[in-house]
Amino acid sequence: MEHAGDGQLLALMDGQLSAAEEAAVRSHLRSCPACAQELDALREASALLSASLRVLDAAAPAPKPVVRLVVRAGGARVAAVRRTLLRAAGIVLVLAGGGAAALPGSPVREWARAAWERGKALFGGAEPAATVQTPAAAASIGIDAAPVAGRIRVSLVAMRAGTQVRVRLVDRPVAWIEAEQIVGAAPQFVRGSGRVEVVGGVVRRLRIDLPRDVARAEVEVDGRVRVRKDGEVLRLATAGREEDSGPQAEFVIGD
Amino acid sequence: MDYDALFHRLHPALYRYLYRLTGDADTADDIAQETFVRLLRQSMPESEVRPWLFTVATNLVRDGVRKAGRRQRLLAAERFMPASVPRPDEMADRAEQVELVRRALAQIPLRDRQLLLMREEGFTYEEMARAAGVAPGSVGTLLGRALRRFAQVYQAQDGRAQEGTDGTRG
Repeated sequence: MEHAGDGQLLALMDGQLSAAEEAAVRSHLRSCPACAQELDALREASALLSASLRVLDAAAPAPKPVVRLVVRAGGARVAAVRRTLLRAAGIVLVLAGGGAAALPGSPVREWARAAWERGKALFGGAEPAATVQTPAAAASIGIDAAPVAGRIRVSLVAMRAGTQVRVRLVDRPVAWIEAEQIVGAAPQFVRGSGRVEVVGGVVRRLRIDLPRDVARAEVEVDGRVRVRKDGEVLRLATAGREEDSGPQAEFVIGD
Repeated sequence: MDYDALFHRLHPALYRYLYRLTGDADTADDIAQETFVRLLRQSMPESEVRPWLFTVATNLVRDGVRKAGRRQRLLAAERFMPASVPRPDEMADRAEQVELVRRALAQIPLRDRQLLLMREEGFTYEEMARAAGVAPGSVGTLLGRALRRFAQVYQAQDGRAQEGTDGTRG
Protein backbone atom coordinates (compact mmCIF):
# COMPACT_ATOMS: atom_id res chain seq x y z
CA MET A 1 0.00 0.00 0.00
CA GLU A 2 1.23 3.48 -0.84
CA HIS A 3 1.27 6.14 1.81
CA ALA A 4 -2.16 6.83 3.27
CA GLY A 5 -3.64 10.13 2.17
CA ASP A 6 -5.49 12.56 4.39
CA GLY A 7 -8.74 11.17 3.08
CA GLN A 8 -8.00 7.68 4.34
CA LEU A 9 -6.59 8.90 7.62
CA LEU A 10 -9.62 11.12 8.33
CA ALA A 11 -11.98 8.35 7.34
CA LEU A 12 -10.14 6.03 9.73
CA MET A 13 -10.45 8.59 12.53
CA ASP A 14 -14.14 9.05 11.86
CA GLY A 15 -15.05 5.39 11.42
CA GLN A 16 -16.03 5.89 7.80
CA LEU A 17 -14.01 3.04 6.30
CA SER A 18 -15.27 -0.43 5.54
CA ALA A 19 -13.83 -3.23 7.63
CA ALA A 20 -11.48 -4.25 4.83
CA GLU A 21 -10.32 -0.70 4.18
CA GLU A 22 -9.75 -0.09 7.87
CA ALA A 23 -7.70 -3.24 8.20
CA ALA A 24 -5.54 -2.21 5.26
CA VAL A 25 -4.90 1.27 6.59
CA ARG A 26 -4.10 0.06 10.11
CA SER A 27 -1.74 -2.53 8.72
CA HIS A 28 0.04 0.17 6.77
CA LEU A 29 0.26 2.48 9.76
CA ARG A 30 1.99 -0.21 11.78
CA SER A 31 4.85 -0.22 9.34
CA CYS A 32 4.93 3.42 8.24
CA PRO A 33 6.07 5.95 10.86
CA ALA A 34 5.53 8.82 8.43
CA CYS A 35 1.83 8.03 8.00
CA ALA A 36 1.46 7.38 11.71
CA GLN A 37 2.91 10.84 12.30
CA GLU A 38 0.46 12.36 9.82
CA LEU A 39 -2.39 10.67 11.66
CA ASP A 40 -1.19 12.16 14.93
CA ALA A 41 -1.03 15.60 13.32
CA LEU A 42 -4.59 15.28 12.08
CA ARG A 43 -5.77 14.14 15.51
CA GLU A 44 -4.12 17.15 17.10
CA ALA A 45 -5.67 19.48 14.54
CA SER A 46 -9.06 17.90 15.15
CA ALA A 47 -8.69 18.30 18.91
CA LEU A 48 -7.62 21.91 18.44
CA LEU A 49 -10.69 22.63 16.34
CA SER A 50 -13.04 20.98 18.84
CA ALA A 51 -11.52 22.93 21.73
CA SER A 52 -11.67 26.16 19.74
CA LEU A 53 -15.31 25.64 18.92
CA ARG A 54 -16.06 25.18 22.60
CA VAL A 55 -14.45 28.57 23.26
CA LEU A 56 -16.65 30.07 20.57
CA ASP A 57 -19.75 28.35 21.92
CA ALA A 58 -19.12 29.71 25.39
CA ALA A 59 -19.37 33.23 23.98
CA ALA A 60 -22.47 32.52 21.91
CA PRO A 61 -25.63 34.33 22.96
CA ALA A 62 -28.64 32.12 23.50
CA PRO A 63 -31.06 31.98 20.57
CA LYS A 64 -33.63 34.76 20.62
CA PRO A 65 -36.92 34.05 22.35
CA VAL A 66 -39.16 32.07 20.07
CA VAL A 67 -42.47 33.82 20.40
CA ARG A 68 -44.96 31.46 18.99
CA LEU A 69 -48.38 32.22 17.84
CA VAL A 70 -50.78 29.36 17.88
CA VAL A 71 -53.52 29.51 15.35
CA ARG A 72 -56.12 26.97 16.20
CA ALA A 73 -57.74 26.06 12.96
CA GLY A 74 -60.32 23.41 12.31
CA GLY A 75 -58.99 20.14 10.88
CA ALA A 76 -60.61 20.50 7.47
CA ARG A 77 -59.12 23.95 6.95
CA VAL A 78 -55.64 23.04 8.12
CA ALA A 79 -53.83 22.74 4.81
CA ALA A 80 -55.56 25.81 3.44
CA VAL A 81 -54.32 27.83 6.37
CA ARG A 82 -50.81 26.60 5.78
CA ARG A 83 -50.73 27.51 2.13
CA THR A 84 -52.13 30.96 2.65
CA LEU A 85 -49.93 31.67 5.62
CA LEU A 86 -46.98 31.51 3.28
CA ARG A 87 -47.89 34.96 2.12
CA ALA A 88 -47.65 37.91 4.47
CA ALA A 89 -51.02 39.25 3.41
CA GLY A 90 -52.55 35.89 4.21
CA ILE A 91 -50.93 35.91 7.59
CA VAL A 92 -52.45 39.26 8.43
CA LEU A 93 -55.83 38.01 7.26
CA VAL A 94 -55.73 34.84 9.28
CA LEU A 95 -54.40 36.49 12.36
CA ALA A 96 -56.86 39.35 12.27
CA GLY A 97 -58.03 39.82 15.77
CA GLY A 98 -57.23 41.59 18.96
CA GLY A 99 -53.97 39.92 19.78
CA ALA A 100 -52.29 40.02 16.40
CA ALA A 101 -51.39 43.70 16.24
CA ALA A 102 -49.77 43.54 19.66
CA LEU A 103 -47.45 40.66 18.81
CA PRO A 104 -43.79 41.41 18.12
CA GLY A 105 -41.90 40.21 15.06
CA SER A 106 -42.55 40.07 11.36
CA PRO A 107 -45.69 38.42 9.98
CA VAL A 108 -43.61 35.61 8.56
CA ARG A 109 -42.07 34.94 11.92
CA GLU A 110 -45.46 34.90 13.62
CA TRP A 111 -46.70 32.42 11.11
CA ALA A 112 -43.66 30.25 11.63
CA ARG A 113 -44.28 30.21 15.35
CA ALA A 114 -47.90 29.32 14.81
CA ALA A 115 -47.02 26.44 12.59
CA TRP A 116 -44.32 25.17 14.90
CA GLU A 117 -46.33 25.27 18.03
CA ARG A 118 -49.23 23.23 16.79
CA GLY A 119 -47.87 21.43 13.77
CA LYS A 120 -50.29 18.57 14.01
CA ALA A 121 -53.28 20.86 14.11
CA LEU A 122 -52.07 22.73 11.05
CA PHE A 123 -50.77 19.92 8.94
CA GLY A 124 -52.94 16.94 9.63
CA GLY A 125 -55.83 17.95 7.45
CA ALA A 126 -57.06 17.15 3.97
CA GLU A 127 -56.04 18.70 0.67
CA PRO A 128 -55.95 22.46 0.49
CA ALA A 129 -59.29 24.15 0.14
CA ALA A 130 -59.87 26.96 -2.33
CA THR A 131 -60.14 29.71 0.26
CA VAL A 132 -58.75 30.54 3.66
CA GLN A 133 -61.04 30.68 6.62
CA THR A 134 -60.33 32.64 9.74
CA PRO A 135 -59.79 30.41 12.79
CA ALA A 136 -62.60 30.55 15.29
CA ALA A 137 -60.59 30.37 18.52
CA ALA A 138 -58.50 33.17 20.00
CA ALA A 139 -54.77 33.13 19.49
CA SER A 140 -52.18 32.00 22.00
CA ILE A 141 -48.54 32.80 22.31
CA GLY A 142 -45.71 30.89 23.88
CA ILE A 143 -42.00 30.76 24.45
CA ASP A 144 -39.48 28.06 25.13
CA ALA A 145 -36.54 28.23 27.50
CA ALA A 146 -33.62 25.93 28.07
CA PRO A 147 -32.44 25.15 31.59
CA VAL A 148 -29.07 26.52 32.61
CA ALA A 149 -26.89 24.63 35.06
CA GLY A 150 -29.74 22.20 35.64
CA ARG A 151 -32.24 24.85 36.65
CA ILE A 152 -35.24 26.58 35.13
CA ARG A 153 -37.37 29.28 36.74
CA VAL A 154 -40.62 30.71 35.45
CA SER A 155 -41.71 34.00 37.03
CA LEU A 156 -45.23 35.30 36.60
CA VAL A 157 -45.35 39.03 37.21
CA ALA A 158 -48.40 41.28 37.46
CA MET A 159 -50.69 38.75 35.81
CA ARG A 160 -54.39 39.13 36.18
CA ALA A 161 -56.03 37.50 39.17
CA GLY A 162 -58.15 34.58 38.09
CA THR A 163 -55.70 33.32 35.47
CA GLN A 164 -55.60 29.54 35.59
CA VAL A 165 -52.09 28.10 35.64
CA ARG A 166 -51.30 24.51 34.82
CA VAL A 167 -47.79 23.18 35.37
CA ARG A 168 -46.69 19.81 34.04
CA LEU A 169 -43.55 17.71 33.90
CA VAL A 170 -42.84 16.68 30.31
CA ASP A 171 -40.31 14.53 28.52
CA ARG A 172 -38.59 17.36 26.70
CA PRO A 173 -35.26 19.05 27.27
CA VAL A 174 -36.65 22.60 27.25
CA ALA A 175 -39.44 24.33 29.12
CA TRP A 176 -42.47 25.64 27.29
CA ILE A 177 -44.67 28.47 28.55
CA GLU A 178 -47.85 29.28 26.68
CA ALA A 179 -50.47 31.91 27.31
CA GLU A 180 -53.67 30.37 26.07
CA GLN A 181 -56.83 32.24 25.21
CA ILE A 182 -55.57 35.79 25.23
CA VAL A 183 -58.60 37.93 25.88
CA GLY A 184 -56.96 41.33 26.05
CA ALA A 185 -53.39 42.58 25.91
CA ALA A 186 -50.87 39.84 25.30
CA PRO A 187 -48.37 39.19 28.09
CA GLN A 188 -44.74 40.09 27.58
CA PHE A 189 -42.15 37.34 27.67
CA VAL A 190 -38.68 38.09 28.95
CA ARG A 191 -36.15 35.32 28.69
CA GLY A 192 -32.98 35.24 30.73
CA SER A 193 -30.41 32.61 31.55
CA GLY A 194 -32.41 29.61 32.67
CA ARG A 195 -35.48 31.67 33.39
CA VAL A 196 -38.51 33.21 31.78
CA GLU A 197 -40.65 36.08 33.02
CA VAL A 198 -44.25 36.37 31.92
CA VAL A 199 -45.41 39.89 32.57
CA GLY A 200 -48.91 41.26 32.54
CA GLY A 201 -51.42 40.49 29.84
CA VAL A 202 -54.98 39.34 30.10
CA VAL A 203 -55.21 35.61 29.50
CA ARG A 204 -57.55 32.94 30.68
CA ARG A 205 -55.01 30.17 31.04
CA LEU A 206 -51.26 29.76 31.29
CA ARG A 207 -49.62 26.46 30.51
CA ILE A 208 -46.13 25.70 31.80
CA ASP A 209 -44.32 22.52 30.73
CA LEU A 210 -41.15 21.81 32.69
CA PRO A 211 -38.51 19.27 31.67
CA ARG A 212 -38.86 16.13 33.72
CA ASP A 213 -35.09 15.64 33.83
CA VAL A 214 -34.12 19.10 35.07
CA ALA A 215 -32.62 19.13 38.56
CA ARG A 216 -34.45 22.25 39.77
CA ALA A 217 -37.53 24.02 38.51
CA GLU A 218 -39.77 26.62 40.10
CA VAL A 219 -42.80 28.62 39.15
CA GLU A 220 -43.22 31.80 41.14
CA VAL A 221 -45.94 34.41 41.17
CA ASP A 222 -44.92 37.96 42.01
CA GLY A 223 -41.83 36.67 43.80
CA ARG A 224 -43.49 33.85 45.71
CA VAL A 225 -42.80 30.25 44.74
CA ARG A 226 -46.05 28.45 44.00
CA VAL A 227 -44.79 25.29 42.35
CA ARG A 228 -41.44 23.62 42.60
CA LYS A 229 -40.10 20.37 41.23
CA ASP A 230 -39.13 17.86 43.87
CA GLY A 231 -37.67 14.76 42.23
CA GLU A 232 -40.31 13.27 39.98
CA VAL A 233 -43.22 15.31 41.33
CA LEU A 234 -44.35 18.87 41.64
CA ARG A 235 -45.08 20.45 44.98
CA LEU A 236 -47.77 23.10 45.09
CA ALA A 237 -47.72 25.84 47.71
CA THR A 238 -51.21 26.72 48.92
CA ALA A 239 -52.19 28.76 51.95
CA GLY A 240 -48.70 28.65 53.41
CA ARG A 241 -48.10 24.91 53.06
CA GLU A 242 -46.82 22.62 50.34
CA GLU A 243 -48.64 19.65 48.91
CA ASP A 244 -47.46 16.86 46.69
CA SER A 245 -49.23 17.37 43.38
CA GLY A 246 -47.77 14.60 41.27
CA PRO A 247 -46.58 15.32 37.72
CA GLN A 248 -49.10 18.13 37.29
CA ALA A 249 -50.10 21.07 39.43
CA GLU A 250 -52.81 23.65 38.92
CA PHE A 251 -53.61 26.87 40.66
CA VAL A 252 -55.35 30.16 40.07
CA ILE A 253 -53.49 33.44 40.33
CA GLY A 254 -54.79 35.41 43.21
CA ASP A 255 -55.98 32.37 45.19
CA MET B 1 -43.64 14.43 11.13
CA ASP B 2 -43.90 15.74 14.66
CA TYR B 3 -42.70 19.26 13.91
CA ASP B 4 -42.82 20.37 17.49
CA ALA B 5 -40.57 17.54 18.64
CA LEU B 6 -38.24 18.04 15.70
CA PHE B 7 -37.89 21.71 16.46
CA HIS B 8 -37.13 21.11 20.12
CA ARG B 9 -34.64 18.42 19.26
CA LEU B 10 -32.84 19.98 16.31
CA HIS B 11 -33.02 23.75 16.69
CA PRO B 12 -30.26 24.04 19.35
CA ALA B 13 -27.77 22.10 17.22
CA LEU B 14 -28.69 24.00 14.08
CA TYR B 15 -28.30 27.34 15.83
CA ARG B 16 -24.94 26.24 17.23
CA TYR B 17 -23.77 25.14 13.80
CA LEU B 18 -24.87 28.38 12.19
CA TYR B 19 -23.27 30.50 14.90
CA ARG B 20 -20.01 28.65 14.41
CA LEU B 21 -20.34 28.94 10.63
CA THR B 22 -21.13 32.64 10.49
CA GLY B 23 -19.81 34.05 13.76
CA ASP B 24 -22.95 36.15 14.03
CA ALA B 25 -25.76 35.36 16.49
CA ASP B 26 -28.41 37.37 14.66
CA THR B 27 -27.64 35.68 11.38
CA ALA B 28 -27.65 32.28 13.06
CA ASP B 29 -31.04 33.05 14.59
CA ASP B 30 -32.58 34.28 11.37
CA ILE B 31 -31.31 31.48 9.23
CA ALA B 32 -32.20 28.77 11.75
CA GLN B 33 -35.73 30.06 11.92
CA GLU B 34 -36.03 30.50 8.17
CA THR B 35 -34.81 26.94 7.69
CA PHE B 36 -37.47 25.57 9.99
CA VAL B 37 -40.07 27.65 8.19
CA ARG B 38 -39.05 25.98 4.95
CA LEU B 39 -39.24 22.57 6.58
CA LEU B 40 -42.92 23.15 7.11
CA ARG B 41 -43.44 22.89 3.35
CA GLN B 42 -41.62 19.57 3.16
CA SER B 43 -42.57 15.99 3.68
CA MET B 44 -39.82 13.46 4.26
CA PRO B 45 -38.85 10.61 6.56
CA GLU B 46 -37.70 11.92 9.92
CA SER B 47 -34.28 10.36 9.39
CA GLU B 48 -33.70 12.80 6.52
CA VAL B 49 -34.72 15.94 8.37
CA ARG B 50 -31.48 16.67 10.16
CA PRO B 51 -29.21 16.55 7.07
CA TRP B 52 -31.84 18.45 5.11
CA LEU B 53 -31.93 21.21 7.71
CA PHE B 54 -28.18 21.64 7.74
CA THR B 55 -27.99 21.60 3.96
CA VAL B 56 -30.67 24.23 3.51
CA ALA B 57 -29.28 26.36 6.31
CA THR B 58 -25.81 26.32 4.76
CA ASN B 59 -27.26 27.23 1.37
CA LEU B 60 -28.97 30.18 2.99
CA VAL B 61 -25.65 31.25 4.48
CA ARG B 62 -24.03 30.90 1.08
CA ASP B 63 -26.80 32.97 -0.49
CA GLY B 64 -26.28 35.59 2.14
CA VAL B 65 -22.58 35.73 1.47
CA ARG B 66 -23.29 36.40 -2.18
CA LYS B 67 -25.59 39.29 -1.42
CA ALA B 68 -23.72 42.54 -0.91
CA GLY B 69 -26.08 43.67 1.77
CA ARG B 70 -25.35 40.70 4.01
CA ARG B 71 -21.62 40.44 3.31
CA GLN B 72 -20.55 42.61 6.22
CA ARG B 73 -22.61 40.55 8.65
CA LEU B 74 -21.12 37.19 7.77
CA LEU B 75 -17.77 35.71 8.55
CA ALA B 76 -15.37 37.13 6.00
CA ALA B 77 -11.62 36.85 6.06
CA GLU B 78 -10.92 40.51 5.42
CA ARG B 79 -13.18 41.58 8.26
CA PHE B 80 -11.15 39.79 10.85
CA MET B 81 -7.66 40.61 9.73
CA PRO B 82 -6.30 42.82 12.50
CA ALA B 83 -4.89 46.19 11.59
CA SER B 84 -2.16 45.66 14.17
CA VAL B 85 -0.96 43.07 16.64
CA PRO B 86 -3.30 42.89 19.63
CA ARG B 87 -2.18 44.76 22.74
CA PRO B 88 -0.35 42.51 25.21
CA ASP B 89 -2.87 43.19 27.95
CA GLU B 90 -5.64 41.86 25.74
CA MET B 91 -4.23 38.41 25.31
CA ALA B 92 -5.48 37.11 28.64
CA ASP B 93 -8.95 38.24 27.71
CA ARG B 94 -11.33 35.48 26.80
CA ALA B 95 -12.87 37.74 24.20
CA GLU B 96 -9.54 37.77 22.45
CA GLN B 97 -9.50 34.00 22.42
CA VAL B 98 -12.89 34.02 20.79
CA GLU B 99 -11.67 36.46 18.20
CA LEU B 100 -8.67 34.28 17.53
CA VAL B 101 -10.94 31.33 16.81
CA ARG B 102 -13.16 33.44 14.59
CA ARG B 103 -10.21 34.72 12.60
CA ALA B 104 -8.89 31.22 12.08
CA LEU B 105 -12.28 29.96 10.93
CA ALA B 106 -12.61 32.91 8.62
CA GLN B 107 -9.53 31.75 6.77
CA ILE B 108 -11.28 28.51 5.84
CA PRO B 109 -13.45 28.65 2.67
CA LEU B 110 -17.15 28.33 3.38
CA ARG B 111 -17.51 24.86 1.89
CA ASP B 112 -14.61 23.47 3.90
CA ARG B 113 -15.89 25.22 7.00
CA GLN B 114 -19.26 23.58 6.41
CA LEU B 115 -17.62 20.16 6.24
CA LEU B 116 -15.59 20.75 9.40
CA LEU B 117 -18.61 21.89 11.37
CA MET B 118 -20.91 19.16 10.09
CA ARG B 119 -18.25 16.66 11.09
CA GLU B 120 -18.34 18.17 14.58
CA GLU B 121 -22.09 17.55 14.59
CA GLY B 122 -21.57 13.87 13.83
CA PHE B 123 -22.75 13.67 10.21
CA THR B 124 -21.59 10.79 8.01
CA TYR B 125 -19.39 11.43 5.01
CA GLU B 126 -22.33 10.55 2.74
CA GLU B 127 -24.49 13.19 4.39
CA MET B 128 -21.72 15.76 4.26
CA ALA B 129 -21.06 15.01 0.59
CA ARG B 130 -24.72 15.54 -0.30
CA ALA B 131 -24.90 18.72 1.75
CA ALA B 132 -21.76 20.22 0.28
CA GLY B 133 -22.27 18.96 -3.25
CA VAL B 134 -19.04 17.00 -3.42
CA ALA B 135 -18.18 13.40 -4.19
CA PRO B 136 -18.36 11.17 -1.09
CA GLY B 137 -14.87 9.91 -1.73
CA SER B 138 -13.46 13.42 -1.51
CA VAL B 139 -14.89 14.32 1.90
CA GLY B 140 -12.01 12.87 3.88
CA THR B 141 -9.43 14.66 1.77
CA LEU B 142 -11.27 17.97 2.01
CA LEU B 143 -11.62 17.57 5.76
CA GLY B 144 -7.96 16.77 6.20
CA ARG B 145 -6.92 19.79 4.20
CA ALA B 146 -9.32 22.03 6.12
CA LEU B 147 -8.16 20.75 9.50
CA ARG B 148 -4.53 21.34 8.64
CA ARG B 149 -5.38 24.80 7.34
CA PHE B 150 -7.26 25.68 10.52
CA ALA B 151 -4.45 24.48 12.75
CA GLN B 152 -1.87 26.34 10.69
CA VAL B 153 -3.79 29.61 10.70
CA TYR B 154 -4.73 29.37 14.36
CA GLN B 155 -1.19 28.70 15.45
CA ALA B 156 0.15 31.47 13.23
CA GLN B 157 -2.25 34.00 14.71
CA ASP B 158 -1.64 32.75 18.20
CA GLY B 159 2.08 33.10 17.55
CA ARG B 160 1.63 36.67 16.38
CA ALA B 161 -0.32 37.42 19.50
CA GLN B 162 2.36 35.85 21.69
CA GLU B 163 4.95 37.93 19.90
CA GLY B 164 3.00 41.01 20.79
CA THR B 165 2.81 39.87 24.39
CA ASP B 166 6.46 39.43 25.19
CA GLY B 167 8.31 40.86 22.25
CA THR B 168 9.72 37.51 21.19
CA ARG B 169 8.42 34.89 18.86
CA GLY B 170 6.28 32.42 20.81
